[in-house]
Amino acid sequence: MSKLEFVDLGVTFGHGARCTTAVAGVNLAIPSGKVVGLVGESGSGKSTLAKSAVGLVPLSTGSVLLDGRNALGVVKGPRPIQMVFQDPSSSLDPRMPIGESVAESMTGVRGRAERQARVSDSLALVGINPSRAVELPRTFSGGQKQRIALARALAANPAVIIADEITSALDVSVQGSVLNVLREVQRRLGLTMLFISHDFAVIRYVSDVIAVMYQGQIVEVADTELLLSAPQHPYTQTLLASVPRLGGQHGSSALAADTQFIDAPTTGEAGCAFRTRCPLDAAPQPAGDRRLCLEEDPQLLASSRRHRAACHFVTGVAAS
Amino acid sequence: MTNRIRASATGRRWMAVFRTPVGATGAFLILVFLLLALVAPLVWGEDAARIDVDGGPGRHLLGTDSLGRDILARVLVASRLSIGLTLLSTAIGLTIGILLGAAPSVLGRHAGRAVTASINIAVAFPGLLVVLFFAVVFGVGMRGAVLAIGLAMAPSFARLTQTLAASVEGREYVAAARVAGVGRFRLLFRHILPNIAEPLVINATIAAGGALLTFSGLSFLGIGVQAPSYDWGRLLGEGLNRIYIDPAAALAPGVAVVAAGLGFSMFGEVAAKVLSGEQLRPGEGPLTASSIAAGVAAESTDDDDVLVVEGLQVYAPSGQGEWVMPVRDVSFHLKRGETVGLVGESGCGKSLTAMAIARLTEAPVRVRADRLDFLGESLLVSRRAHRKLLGTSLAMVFQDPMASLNPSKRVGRQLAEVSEVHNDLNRRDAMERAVDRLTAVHMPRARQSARQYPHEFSGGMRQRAMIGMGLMGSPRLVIADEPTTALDVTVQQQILSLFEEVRSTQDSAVLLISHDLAVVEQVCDRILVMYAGRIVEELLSADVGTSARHPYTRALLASAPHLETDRDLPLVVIEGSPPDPGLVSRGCAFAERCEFATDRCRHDLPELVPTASDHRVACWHPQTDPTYLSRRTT
Amino acid sequence: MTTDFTKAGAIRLPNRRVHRPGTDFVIRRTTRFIGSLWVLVTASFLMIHLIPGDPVRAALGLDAPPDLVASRRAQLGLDRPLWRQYVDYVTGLAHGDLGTSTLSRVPVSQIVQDRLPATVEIAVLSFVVVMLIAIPVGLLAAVHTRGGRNRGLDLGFAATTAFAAAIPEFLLAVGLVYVFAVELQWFPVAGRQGPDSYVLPVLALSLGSAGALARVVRVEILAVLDQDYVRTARAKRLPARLIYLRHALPNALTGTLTLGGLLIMGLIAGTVLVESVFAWPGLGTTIVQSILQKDYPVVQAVVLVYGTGVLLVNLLVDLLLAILDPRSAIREA
Repeated sequence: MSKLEFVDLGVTFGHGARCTTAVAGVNLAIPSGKVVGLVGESGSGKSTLAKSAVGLVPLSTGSVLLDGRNALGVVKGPRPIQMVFQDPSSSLDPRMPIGESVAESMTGVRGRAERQARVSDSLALVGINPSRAVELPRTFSGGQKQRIALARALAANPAVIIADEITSALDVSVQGSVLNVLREVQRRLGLTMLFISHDFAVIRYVSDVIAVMYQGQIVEVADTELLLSAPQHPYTQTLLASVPRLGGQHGSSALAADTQFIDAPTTGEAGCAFRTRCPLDAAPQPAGDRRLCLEEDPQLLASSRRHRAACHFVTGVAAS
Repeated sequence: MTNRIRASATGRRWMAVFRTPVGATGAFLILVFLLLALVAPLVWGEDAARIDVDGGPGRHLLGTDSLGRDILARVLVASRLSIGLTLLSTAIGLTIGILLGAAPSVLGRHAGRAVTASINIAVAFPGLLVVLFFAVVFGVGMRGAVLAIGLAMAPSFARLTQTLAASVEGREYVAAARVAGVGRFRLLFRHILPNIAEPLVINATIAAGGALLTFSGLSFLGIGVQAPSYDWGRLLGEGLNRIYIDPAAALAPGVAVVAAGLGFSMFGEVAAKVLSGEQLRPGEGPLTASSIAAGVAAESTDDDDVLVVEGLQVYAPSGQGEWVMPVRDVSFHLKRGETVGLVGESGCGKSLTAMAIARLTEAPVRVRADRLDFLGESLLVSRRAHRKLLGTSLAMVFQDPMASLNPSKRVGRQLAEVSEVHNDLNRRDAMERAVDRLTAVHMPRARQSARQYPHEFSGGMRQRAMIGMGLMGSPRLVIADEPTTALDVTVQQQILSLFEEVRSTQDSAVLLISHDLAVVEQVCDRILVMYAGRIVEELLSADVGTSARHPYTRALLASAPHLETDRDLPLVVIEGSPPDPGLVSRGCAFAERCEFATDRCRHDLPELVPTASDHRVACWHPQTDPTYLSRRTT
Repeated sequence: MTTDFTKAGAIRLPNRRVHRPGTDFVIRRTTRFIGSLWVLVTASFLMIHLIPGDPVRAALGLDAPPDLVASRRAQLGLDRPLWRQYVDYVTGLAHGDLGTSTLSRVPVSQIVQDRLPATVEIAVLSFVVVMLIAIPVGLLAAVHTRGGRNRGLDLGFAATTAFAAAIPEFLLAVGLVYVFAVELQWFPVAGRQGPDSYVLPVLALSLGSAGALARVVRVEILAVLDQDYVRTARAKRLPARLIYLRHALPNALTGTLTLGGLLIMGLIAGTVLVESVFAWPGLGTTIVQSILQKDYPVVQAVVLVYGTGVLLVNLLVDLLLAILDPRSAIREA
């Protein structure tokens, strides 16, 4: 049993005037053996959240809990939470044979033979020929390197895997080879996983639950099919509507003349962070109600709404 | 086993250093002087000390000094002290420098910062000044000079070590090792130091050259080596007083200093270049500039044709000094008001095709084509003649909008200069036009934005500015190379819509290059699929979902997950990767990754032939079975 | 999609939104300057105490009469507690008192006043010459050798500049003296009389730096020519002249200026050696003589003056960079 929880997690960088908030009070739980997908645009704080779980960025508030205990307390030895990074060509030491990189995260190994056997097992698990363990990373293709990085994470015998944009540096033609292995391993070992991507299609394929992140906050969480079929937060709706679909409309007619500029996010201040980009703005709303968006933080009552949506205008209440 | 592999790879790279003429000369000089330092005192020691009062001309090649000692012998003998002291002080500097520079990686945050701050301050003073300071403190003489030079070198080595270590620490493999639970010291010795050793060694070599010069300078001033010992600097100082009578006494040690110094710095610099992966230039290619095919005068061009490309080939030097052909044979045409997509995996030649069409490739890349007509004019003739035509009628939009705008110029100026150059507008009118065009691409507060710098813009705004730049003229063709790859999906939609608006209002043709079939299918009328430098299929986007024929196109489509992908099935994967441009086979380049490939595919090149109107395929076994669709929709 | 929060997209805290990276940068750099200055003053103060043994004994010789040693110690203030001496030293500096030469008994401030102009003259002249040679030569070399064209020129440029940069100033000075003063007798061998006498020292100081800087200019320009925005400029079909002068050169200046600053610092230090060759009546000859004669108050003062000059140049270059390239200030933030 290994449940990963982010509790009131906040991360800020810099001091004083140059202070930026990357993650602002995130509460998110990943049930044991489940995959939670985290989706959002660049700068939304996804990667920072991922790094905070393995202690690569200092927390300014809150905590990361593994089965209710502080997950960042372990100082020595391999951590129960392992991470796979975005760019496989930079996440493997170019001067270290891949077998050694994989071995580095193993614990409780006695003797060379066992070590080698476990490296072989890990590599075989991700579909890399174990006889290539002595080769340097540069002899492998991008997809293979990413699977080796996964093997390294698995060698630590982790309870939780954090996968941060692990396919965004790969061509779509080999992306599948990594995702297939990842999913198979996750199911076979019953791993708990936080899977981060900016690509909704990829997130949907891998995850049991999807969390949508915007400006350092989680704005909606729901089971994958539910979130896709009935997104509650206007930001989720916007994101989903933006995903290009194969076999949908095509040719010039597909794009309406929707070129209006919606680019700048709201920064700071009270109220809803999404309000300047919110499509609800265009919809007719009672003027009095819309003032809520300016004045009240929709995060406050989020847990009582459907999909925990951080929006004042979500109808319906949270199921159970 | 593992060590051997590592050693041989490193050895091969160092051998490349010796193979360059400059590197070999440097290595040779270093070797000669090291040998001299070892043997010269034994061989010429007596000659250097013997006083030959009536030494006639001819007995001493370079004459004698004021006491009648042979100058050549003295210069040769002095190499031991000069080289030896240089190496000693370099070793001192390097050791202290590495210790200081690596300290922040191991120490805690505050101690690390303190070390860094002291290094920063120490580096601000020039070496010679620090040397003089320490020379005073340690006292005039050889020991003082060695220590002084060593200590003076330390801060810059420390800074270098620290910068290199910091850049390695930023790499994800260090983060990965941290997550794996690797301790600080193991991190330093197994991951950081091995990855910075090479540049450190190289810089130490260059610095040794500098130390040699500084040491000679000190001895020359009388602060370094003291009589009766002598090094080159001391000989030089003694010789300078007699430069009227006997120039050789001053020039000979001077030559020795320069030769040894050059040896160190030449070898170091070449090593730095070669090992940092800077490509050695290939020899003369298979083509000369004149062999670019003179274009056949445009004949019977369809009035609607904006662009006609036939038999386009691009040659480029590979890293190994050979010539390869990343674009092998590309032919297509674009009509007025039409949006065409060019898709394929990375490395298949899409961008190079775009650059070649726009005549933007530069030496050493070479372009050849049977026909390259833009608005009825052949672009194969002279570039100069087409400058205005291309400047006003062809717009380019690139992948990374931040990098594509000049960071030190206001955005408005960057747009305005197009009209200044091509339409002879004055500065003010050009700026008005720029503001007008920024408005046309829906830039908020256009007048204000024109006065801003690119770094003040968001990614979407920058790409709008790039498109606005293309609209300064009246573009007949817009070539957009992965214009939305660096942008978020919500912004991607806005930019794609903007292209559509440009197409419809300006009636331009748009060539959209992308790796994302879904984007291309959504926006384009027609799609060209490229693989290993050739177009393998051309089809209407309406047909993509129903009747793609080439196995590559079908595999690309099937491999992209989308919002309806069956989550219970594994994703489709195209095994292997696109061939290296140097290793493209004789037959169909896709054969080795293709499940339908036969011997014929491996030996004979399939031509791009029409299978229906608006549909061309280059395949010996075009697929008609529609089941690939069932894999992608449930 | 690495998330980099120093770039756009990160959220700023609400009440901290107004800040100017430029001002911040200036304040930070000035602070660093003051810190370095303090280190310099302290170092020059400590220099006399770091010398093993007794500096007065060292200067006067072992057989000097004890009362002379004692009075000299008292005169230098060496008999007082260290902190007291430090306070006195710093207050003295603040009042322009640099101490008194132990040899000539002349106030050191007087010596500095006499000698400084000669050094500043050749340093400034040399810097101008370096810039006048390096920037055009580097730019032309870059334009004509980019992408592997004109390999002969490339090799010639590399060889010439490497050679120029590898010869130390004092050696070049000796060579110049031999050729132009001894053999050709076009310029005086040494001294500072009339415009003629400036030519050789300035050449000796500047040629090496010019070679080094020209290489940097070339590399920087080549790097800039590889940038996407130069591709954009070419896609705009601007004439070559505009591409190089308007788009490439200004962006190459950042690197050039950074190294240019280092070069001026090198030039300042190089005056020590070059002045000695030409018997130039500047601070360089003064410090060498004083070191050899163990006239420590003078050495202290000259180190201080040289160091301050270098720090000032450093500060100036940083501030100039911040003005020329607003990003460099932001990048640091």
